[in-house]
Amino acid sequence: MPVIASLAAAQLRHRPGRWALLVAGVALAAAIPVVAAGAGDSVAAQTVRTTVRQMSPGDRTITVVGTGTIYSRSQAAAFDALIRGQMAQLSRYPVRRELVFHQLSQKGATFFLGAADDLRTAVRLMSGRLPRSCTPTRCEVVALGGGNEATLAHAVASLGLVVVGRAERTDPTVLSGELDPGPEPLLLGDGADAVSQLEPLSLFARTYGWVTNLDVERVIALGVPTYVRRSSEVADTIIAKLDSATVVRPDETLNDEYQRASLSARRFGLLGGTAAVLLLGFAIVAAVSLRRDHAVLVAVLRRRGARIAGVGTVTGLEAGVACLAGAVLGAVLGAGVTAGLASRADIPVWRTIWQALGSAWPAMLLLLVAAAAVTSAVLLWPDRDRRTVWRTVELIGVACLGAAWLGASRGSTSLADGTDPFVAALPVLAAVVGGLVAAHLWAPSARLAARLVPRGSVAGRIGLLGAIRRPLRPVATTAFLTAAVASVVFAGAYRATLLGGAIDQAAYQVPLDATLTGGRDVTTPLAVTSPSALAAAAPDTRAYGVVRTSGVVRPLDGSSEQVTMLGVDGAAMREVRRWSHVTGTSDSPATVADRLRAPVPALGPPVTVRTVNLEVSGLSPAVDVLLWLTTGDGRDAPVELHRQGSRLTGTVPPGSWHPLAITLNENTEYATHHQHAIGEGNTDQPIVAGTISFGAAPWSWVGWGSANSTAGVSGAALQVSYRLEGSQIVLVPNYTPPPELPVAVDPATASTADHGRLTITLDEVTVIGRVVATLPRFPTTSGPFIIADRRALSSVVDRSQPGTGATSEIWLASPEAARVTAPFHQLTVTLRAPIQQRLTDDPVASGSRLLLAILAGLALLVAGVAVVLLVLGDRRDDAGELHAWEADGVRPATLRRMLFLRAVSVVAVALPCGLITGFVLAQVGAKLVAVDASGVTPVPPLSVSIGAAWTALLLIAGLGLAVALAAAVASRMLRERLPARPELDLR
Amino acid sequence: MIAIDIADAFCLYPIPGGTVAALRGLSLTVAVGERLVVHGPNGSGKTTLLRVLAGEVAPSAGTVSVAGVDLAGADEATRSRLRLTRLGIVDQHSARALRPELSVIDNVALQLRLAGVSRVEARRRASETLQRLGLDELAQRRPVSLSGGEAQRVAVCAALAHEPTVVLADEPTGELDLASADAVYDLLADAVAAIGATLLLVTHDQRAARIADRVVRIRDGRLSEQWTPDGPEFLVVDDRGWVRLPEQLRRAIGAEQTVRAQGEAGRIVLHGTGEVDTVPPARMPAPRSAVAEPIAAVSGVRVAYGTRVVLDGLDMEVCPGALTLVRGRSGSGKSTLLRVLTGLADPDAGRAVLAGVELGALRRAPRADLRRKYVAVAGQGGAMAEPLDVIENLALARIARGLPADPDLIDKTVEALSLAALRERAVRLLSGGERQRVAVARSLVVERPLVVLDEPTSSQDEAHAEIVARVLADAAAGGRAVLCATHDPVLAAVADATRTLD
Repeated sequence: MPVIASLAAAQLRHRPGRWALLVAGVALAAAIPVVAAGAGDSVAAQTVRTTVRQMSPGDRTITVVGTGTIYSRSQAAAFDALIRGQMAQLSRYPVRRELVFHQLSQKGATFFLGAADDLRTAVRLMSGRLPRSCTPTRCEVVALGGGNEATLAHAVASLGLVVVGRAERTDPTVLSGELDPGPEPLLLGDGADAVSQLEPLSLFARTYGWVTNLDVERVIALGVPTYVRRSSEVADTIIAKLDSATVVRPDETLNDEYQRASLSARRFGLLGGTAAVLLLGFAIVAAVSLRRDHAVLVAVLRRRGARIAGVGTVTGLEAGVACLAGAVLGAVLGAGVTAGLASRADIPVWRTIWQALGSAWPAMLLLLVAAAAVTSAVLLWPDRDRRTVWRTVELIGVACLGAAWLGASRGSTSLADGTDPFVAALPVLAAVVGGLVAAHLWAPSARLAARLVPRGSVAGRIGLLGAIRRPLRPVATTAFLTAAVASVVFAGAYRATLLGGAIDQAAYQVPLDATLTGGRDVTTPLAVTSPSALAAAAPDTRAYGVVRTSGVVRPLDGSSEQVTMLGVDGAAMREVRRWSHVTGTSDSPATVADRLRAPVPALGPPVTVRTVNLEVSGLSPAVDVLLWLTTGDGRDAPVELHRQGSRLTGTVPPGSWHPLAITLNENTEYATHHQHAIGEGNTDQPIVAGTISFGAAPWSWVGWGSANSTAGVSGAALQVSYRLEGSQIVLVPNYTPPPELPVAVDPATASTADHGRLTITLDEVTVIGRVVATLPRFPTTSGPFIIADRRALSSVVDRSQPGTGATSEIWLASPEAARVTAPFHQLTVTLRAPIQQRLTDDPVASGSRLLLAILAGLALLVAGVAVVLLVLGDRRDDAGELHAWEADGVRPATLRRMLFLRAVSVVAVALPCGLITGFVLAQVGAKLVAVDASGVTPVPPLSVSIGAAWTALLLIAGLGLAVALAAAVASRMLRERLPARPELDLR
Repeated sequence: MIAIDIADAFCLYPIPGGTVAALRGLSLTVAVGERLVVHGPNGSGKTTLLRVLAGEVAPSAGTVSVAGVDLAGADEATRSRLRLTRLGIVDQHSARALRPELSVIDNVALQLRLAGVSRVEARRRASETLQRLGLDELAQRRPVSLSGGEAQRVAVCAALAHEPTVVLADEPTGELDLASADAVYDLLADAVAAIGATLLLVTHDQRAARIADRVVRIRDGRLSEQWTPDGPEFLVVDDRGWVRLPEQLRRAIGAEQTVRAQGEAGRIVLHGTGEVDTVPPARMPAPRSAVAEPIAAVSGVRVAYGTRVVLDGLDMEVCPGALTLVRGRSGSGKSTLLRVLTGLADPDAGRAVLAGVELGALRRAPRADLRRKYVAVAGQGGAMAEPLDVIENLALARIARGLPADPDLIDKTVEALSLAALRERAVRLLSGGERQRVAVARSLVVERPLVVLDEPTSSQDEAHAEIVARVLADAAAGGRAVLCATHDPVLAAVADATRTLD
């Protein structure tokens, strides 16, 4: 054994340069797991920071709240010491003690009295001065919030309170959260301890509070799990001493975000697999370049009687030491990149490096062993066994293809249960298969190219033919470059996919540029604006009303399913961003819109009078009559028709209105009486029924009819025979029996259709929907949905339930959506761009993209090294051939071109194969890992984008550099004054 | 006591499309302590014999016993053990025996260490060996710092330090000058005598006979002649009765394919049968130009590799219309001379002229241009496109020189070199001899005034060697200058001029 070890050491020492490229390649690939782990930590830290930044100031605190007990001064002091000590474990920020009494009402004024330590740092004086003293009988306070200062001052004087000024809060954490008194006026004294001693309120209930800011840096330094654990311990300790205390802390939010970041980081398993491919691939390429020298060593040792096992041990030791050196160098390189990431994320550099190395070492160890084994195998495999090698490799390829197919057919994973081994294996499988295909293609491609090159291109022809003669190196390099290019394409495509995912998710939430829905005081956006007004607000702006309601689908099996019903204009559908991605259909929006189009009864002439007077006869006193008007652009309005003798009178609201319907309902008084009677057991109540005759109206009665009563025109009057049996009677102009409504539905709902028909119940009305399209998804919906043309849906539902077909939201397409919607603060306005920005800028998302970019860069670096290695190896191993050609009169410049063209031939085959492999890998990866860039399961699911520009730029830069390096290396060759003899050279 | 015993050994190598027999029923016995020198032309099976004896190649048939180990059917461990403990192998190239990363003493000690001897003990014994053989001053040096002679002597030490029973040496002086070669012979003789080992020395060098107890010659994979130094040559009759008649003898009796043998008292008399000899004479005399200007010439050329001078004050001219041979033992400077003449190497002194241009004044690229115009080279390696067939390779050679296609010329050349049946076979599927003939064809189809060939018959059997010789002679007769470096007497028989180097 000692001789074996010393031989291996001597080999490595003798010409370390030959091993240096292997070490460099292994180092670059081995750096990836470390960088991935470091990036995970950085991303987690940035996620915590972003999360905290997005919290409201009150939520960004840790607060101990004591209620229900009035502490003595000594108790308060003891608790104060305890709580400050405990809270110091969680935050470096000072603890502010606060106090707020329960609401006080004094002399007609309602207010809160509170106190905070170090008041001057918490408020800004608006008028008067800050409190200077507080004794049990006289305490100066400042007023905050509403309320008349003079009234307050008068009201609180009997409590010993003196209002000395008015102030506003500058520290939003003061009396926030649990201690927040709300909008009521607040009087604030300086010093919780002093104010709590106020004698007039000595027995008055109060809440004590100790508040400190959440210390983000400590959270990051400890790590979220440790921080949350410690936070729980602190809370337990405090609660154990103060029974009535509660500790309010944002642990749950932190934990949720941490889980999200961790989930996304598990996707980095894909990168681990990519690292493995690069590492092992490069080990093969590097080993191929060492084979010639190693074969000489093996021959010497075998001639001297060394056994195969001994030779294998020498080889293994050499490969192991080189790979170990590469792994160590890779760890250093990875640590360097991690340091940069940590520094960028402003987290402790050394701790991050240490943690990254700690996380990555098992993967690195595994890779190291695999790389050493592969290197040894390539070095030792005898030349005569080429066919066996190919068969073995092909078998591996087929096995990988099978494994990839089996793995991919399992479906996607959310990674919620931890790292899926297949996720890490996928790049290996894909790269092996892609690399083998490329390897197989190289020789025929080179042969074909050699035949196709112009007759005069000696360099091309003899270069390619010569390379085919000894194909191991170009074939191995082609396979490796394919894997490297696939890694780059995968990184680029996955990066673009994640970015596209953010765009898709934003478009799913806001299909156009903005959505306006009702606000706190306004139920519909049409109450304050209209599509036409919005469209006129900025150039190139379009607004579309959307009807949103809910219904129930009742399949034949008797079950029922709640569905969201959306009425969308065809034009709006055509403007849905990334239609095919968000809906998942291959049908164009125009096609779907065309299929949904349905005839809609025309509106009658507008009502031209301001007051509607209808002569009526036969109207039961138990019946209320409602006239429904519509503007035709989505606004419906009811007009109550009051009885005035034999007349019904109602006032038409301002604007241009068309009659929509007349409804007959039991009036409230009758309905209440009716229900009471039934409740008392008197079921024999008469049903309200009869015949009403409506006299001449400001519109023609011709065409009016009803689905649940009998109506007919007689002269200028409308005769209606009705029975009110639970549902209202609806009379509509241009009446036709309810048509089938063309609908687009989700696949699950479609599967319940009977011969393409769905029975949809909207309140008490049943509509038959005819399924004309099945869409996997539709923006703004969750769960089952039914999409119809807005006007058709509106017409159908309004004729059954007037008012329900009104526009409930507006979708706005505008390059200036923010400006257009800015005035409508009464509405809920949701803009797509900020959502997209938030998703894109999410630290987890940007961390993923950064890591993918680093991976791509490293892959290209390794690819460049491999191309250089190819040229160097060709020069060295084909010295005899080069010499022979030169002896034949071929100029050295032609031979240099020949070497360069060989490298180009490898790149030319590897590039398309790598592109295809990378794209397939990205496609499978995106489908397999069902989490988006920010670590949540996205809706719509990730849809693969190639990221053509980014990837092309990277590939052109990287491979261009590699080819340029090959050209540079080749151009320096064969420059000696005379050709060297191609003899055995063991120097 | 028998150290080496080979009986009726056959050794077949698979080649694309069949097998080639390197040994064809060879039988040989070498006694313990005997020093046997083996001669033979290139391709006769000498190296295969050594590889069989070293256990690196298993014989296809027959029995082989070395140092008491039966190698027919021996497992890998047995063969390794044989090499490790009982064999010492000296290669033609010291670089293939010595490891550059180890010092001389560690190289010498390597085999002992592989055998399990401790480092200290192995180095002690290696040191003793070096001292005994007068090389102790080299002990701490690296192989790269040694001269060729020194390196080869160290290689001999490395093969002997573990005191093997049998020493196998393959052209150990092939790259050495005379003095160094003598030193290596002396070293070998002394070393094997000191440890009582058997020596089997394969060489072209006739002078090696001075350390031999017996000399044998191998032809076509069999033992054909044997003699003792200074004694007459005897034909070998093997145990099956096979006797190989030398070419001169066959010609002397007037028939080359069949003879009538008659046993007389103590003699065998062979009579020619008088049948028609279908093989044309080796050389069809062709008209020569009376006085031809040399196409290439060297004058006062001196070339040395380190301290080893291979060419010293050499003058030589290569004229059109003549087949000129350069002969000499391995290492005598034949290949070096060809390189100097073609501008692939510069002499340390003297001048070389090609097509009237002094090569010393030219840089690398113009020299390539000059060769492209005037010289066709068939080296031992050869630049051939393996995936292409024979015809395509020959066409490519013309393309590489910018010549127009000439299928007729290619067909004629292929025919002449007995390659017609292989014309559409990829070169990678050809045997070594076939490839060599393609290389010769390649040098002819480019129609250059000077054709330079390095050992063009080294892989040919005698019949094909004669074909090659005839084609080259015809090329010379056609007006080209043909220059061959060779050992082969078949070529010598048709040469117009021979220059022997020593």
